[in-house]
Amino acid sequence: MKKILLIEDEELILSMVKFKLEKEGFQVIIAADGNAGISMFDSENPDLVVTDLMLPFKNGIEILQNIRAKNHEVPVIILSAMGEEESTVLEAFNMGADDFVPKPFNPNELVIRVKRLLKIR
Amino acid sequence: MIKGAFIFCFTWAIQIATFAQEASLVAAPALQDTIQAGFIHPSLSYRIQYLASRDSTDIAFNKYDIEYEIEEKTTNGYYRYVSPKVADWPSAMKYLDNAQAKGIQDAWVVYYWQEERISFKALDEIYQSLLAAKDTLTEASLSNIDANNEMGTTSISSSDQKTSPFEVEEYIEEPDSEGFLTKIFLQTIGGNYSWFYESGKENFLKKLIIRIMIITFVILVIVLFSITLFVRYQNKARKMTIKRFKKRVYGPLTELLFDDDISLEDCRNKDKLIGIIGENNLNKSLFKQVLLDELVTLSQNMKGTVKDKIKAIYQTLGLDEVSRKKIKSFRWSNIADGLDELLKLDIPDHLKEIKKLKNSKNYVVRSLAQQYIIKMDENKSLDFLLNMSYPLSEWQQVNLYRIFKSFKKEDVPIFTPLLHANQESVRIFGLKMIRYFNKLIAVEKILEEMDNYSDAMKREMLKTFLRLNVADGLRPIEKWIHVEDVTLKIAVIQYLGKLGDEHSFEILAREIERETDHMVLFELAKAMRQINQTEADLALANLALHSLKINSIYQHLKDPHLEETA
Repeated sequence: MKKILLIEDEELILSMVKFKLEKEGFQVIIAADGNAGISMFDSENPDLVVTDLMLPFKNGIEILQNIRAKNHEVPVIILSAMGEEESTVLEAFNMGADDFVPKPFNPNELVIRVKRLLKIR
Repeated sequence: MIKGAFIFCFTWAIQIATFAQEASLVAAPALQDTIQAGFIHPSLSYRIQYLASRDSTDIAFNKYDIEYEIEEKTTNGYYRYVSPKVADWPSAMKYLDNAQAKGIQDAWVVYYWQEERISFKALDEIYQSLLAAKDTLTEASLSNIDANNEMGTTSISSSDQKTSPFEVEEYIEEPDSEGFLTKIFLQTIGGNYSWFYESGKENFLKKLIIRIMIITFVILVIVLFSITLFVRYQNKARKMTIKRFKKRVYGPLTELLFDDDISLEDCRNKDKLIGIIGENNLNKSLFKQVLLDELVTLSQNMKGTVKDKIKAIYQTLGLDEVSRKKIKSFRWSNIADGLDELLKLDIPDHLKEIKKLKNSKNYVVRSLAQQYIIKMDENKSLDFLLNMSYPLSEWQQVNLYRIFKSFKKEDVPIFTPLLHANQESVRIFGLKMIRYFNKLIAVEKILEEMDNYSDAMKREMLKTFLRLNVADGLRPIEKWIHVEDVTLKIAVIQYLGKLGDEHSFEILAREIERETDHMVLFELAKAMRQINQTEADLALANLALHSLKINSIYQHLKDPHLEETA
């Protein structure tokens, strides 16, 4: 079973996306802020990371930097509001983000993107 | 609250007791006056207490250079630093005066009856019993008072030190909260307040007023403190309840929105929703509000079927009615909340009511109402913007622009009606929208009316023409080059530079000869080169011979680095 690390500070969205991904057969571990996300990544060694851009303590870019410094392979999907600065999104791609899902998002679309990156059909 | 009430009652009890005590003292002037008049009794003696310390060799005290004795350690563990014992009041006052002169302002008189230290109150009781027994207060004693009349005067003079036996003894030996507060209050208001410690009917009234003021102050503090505690408690309790309700909402909402077995139709079935969420929960207004808030948050973050389900739940459970009630509220924050909910959940049913809020005095309410109207009006009519009571701020313009951006291309209005709005900010907004949405169809209308535009509108119009590459207005716009407004003048020059022809070049060339403003000169030179670089360089080189300003501008424009970057 593939393990997904989900980092999102909005509790309701966190719990719902977790539910959705679990229904699709993934094991989901969650973190509500940047620091917890990084320590979860270190301890749990997930197969894929889904992270919001705006997070307490450390933002999505910093998390990505941290992940890429240790592991170049693990796919990272950035979740972000449409109003976010275009430059921030581009920066995320430059840092090595694999995909970008703008909010508002369709949970089914997120699942498809996750599956695609994990090469699951 | 209970604590507050207790303090309140306690304060009152102290006040009443103290007041009764003083009232009785006023009725019997007795001992205080007798002592000050020079009364001597073989059993009665005095000392001045300078301070009390846990240390029998208090180094700090030595600096006063004063005659003193140390009384044995008292039961509470203190050594008393006192004056030698004296038998009469004037001698005691001399020690007191001396102590105060040397800086021990809080020295006070203490009393001894048959060599035993007693309080003034205890001494008074002895005195009263002596009076009742008519024992020691013989005529001889009374004559002693008469004989010491002069001393009595001395004694009164000592009382100028704002000290009386009554005050000193009561304050030091029996400090209570009221006495302490009273002293603080008197010291705060400043001035000479020795009268407070004297007896008499007039002073009695003054004391009464002071006490009432203190009581009122204390009550006010207690009431305010109690209210603060109560509000804090309520807020904390509310936050806890909201947190609990949020947890309770997550499960059912997750099931409803993400369980594929629950269809959109199921979300429109009230009984099914009540069955999943729980009737008990839905009967609580705070729970409904928490559910509503969560639905709003989700609707901002989700799209597709999930968003449709969110909207269905919101309407089926009658939460739109909660939002509608809010927009009927008297509080602007409630109205804004209601508008925000209806706007974010795309509920178009309240257009008529919300149109009334478009000119609200409150900026937030007005802004949200405008967004709602533009988003929900099926006809996409902009008529409501034509007669606005307030200007359209830049922030409001940005929000409206975002809504227009979310429209299908064919639904975006032409915006020309806005050019006749009563507010100039709305007219300018119209020009901006024509530019952002490339509404070339509106150009003809603008060309017809542009001579009547204000300078600000002309500037906005020129930006629009530049973006849309509208050269049709070249001839009339060339005439605006002589305007006084520098920013408009520069906008005209930039327009001519980009879209101008040979005729425009001639106008620019004429203008550069008479212009003096450096910034305008620079724009003129640049525009001329944009139209015809060869002709412009010739003209500028010629002008540069006579003008240092033009020479520097020309050299700057010819700079190869600048040309490369350009």
